[in-house]
Amino acid sequence: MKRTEQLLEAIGDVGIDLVETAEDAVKLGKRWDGILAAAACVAVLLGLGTAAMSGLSVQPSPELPEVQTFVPMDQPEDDLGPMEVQEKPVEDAPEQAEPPADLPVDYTVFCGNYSDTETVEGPCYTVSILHVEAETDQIELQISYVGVNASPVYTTESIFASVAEDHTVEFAWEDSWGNRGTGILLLNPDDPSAVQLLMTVTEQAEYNRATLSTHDQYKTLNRRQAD
Amino acid sequence: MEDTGIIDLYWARDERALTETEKKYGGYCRTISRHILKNEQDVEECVSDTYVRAWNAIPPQRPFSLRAFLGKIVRNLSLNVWRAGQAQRRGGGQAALALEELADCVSDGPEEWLQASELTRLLDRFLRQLPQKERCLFLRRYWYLEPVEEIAHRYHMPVGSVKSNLHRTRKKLRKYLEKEEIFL
Repeated sequence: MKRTEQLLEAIGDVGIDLVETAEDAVKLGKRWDGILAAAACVAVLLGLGTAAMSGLSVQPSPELPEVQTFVPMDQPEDDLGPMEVQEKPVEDAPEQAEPPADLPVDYTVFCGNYSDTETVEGPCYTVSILHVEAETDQIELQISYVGVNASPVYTTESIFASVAEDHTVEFAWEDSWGNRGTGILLLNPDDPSAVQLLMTVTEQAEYNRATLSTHDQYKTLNRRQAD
Repeated sequence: MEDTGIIDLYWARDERALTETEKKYGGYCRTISRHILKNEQDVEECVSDTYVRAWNAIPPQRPFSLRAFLGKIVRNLSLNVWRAGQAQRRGGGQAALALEELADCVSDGPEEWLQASELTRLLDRFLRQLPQKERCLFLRRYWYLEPVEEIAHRYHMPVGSVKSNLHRTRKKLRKYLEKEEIFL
């Protein structure tokens, strides 16, 4: 056997973990950049939600008119960075009075990351609810699937959809590999600690498997503890 | 079905293992085989043989990654068929091109070179030292035997960048083998 043939054959016997990561690992960095950026947005939004629930004062920022800075009434501004606001658990918020029955549901409490596992190495599904427009119930979300040892990674672009009266969100999606499909997200207004997700593939990309599919079953995703 | 479920079917000697494997990884195996073989009948035979090999290997094996496990089998089987086809002048495909490219890394000689296991060990170590992107491009080209155009499409890169990246990696591999005092 020639040396080049020997070399080609030997390449076939390198570690399976190497082969597995080559499946799509090059895109990993970009994906995580996106996810981290999304997480940063979620952190800001969660800060908003936490502040609102805690009865904190809200001061508009002159540089960013749509993003606001929160300062507890009993604490100087310098003492509280944005991370501290982000990490303040929602559960610590004081008891809120029950809203009158005729008020619309506040879906903004769903802003955050929901996963079926806490591990970042995968496999796990994650729904990041990036933004909810309180007045119109328009929702912006992103969905990702991370395989074993963080590979493969499938991520959708931001999806914009409406929350229906029965608290469901129906949407179409396309992931980073070109797979396409439809999805349904169920929001239970009485329990914002979890959401349910059904993802169906309608068009599979040529070179990839469509692992964003939840295989005809709703997946229950819990709010990540880090949020 | 999840891989663990399919592997459990193999272990239970349940023939649905083969159906589920075909359903989930049939396309994947055919893609690898088609990179090496042009004849569709040869491809189908290699894929079928891959399932037989998997059936015979599991148990006792429990692959860490069923996908890579099947990929490795179908790659080896397809290369064997390709070599036999070479002898009958019906070869071609990406394997021939890959061999031409790999001539950058080693000089061909008639004598026995290295033990296969030693060469694999060196290659494994070399690949682990590479930046992730270079490693992925190299493996897509020489493990999966994907055409350069397909790799460029997969990673949203210009074809020229993929080629130059692979060229640099081959040169690095040659230097690495020289440094390891492998007679080239």
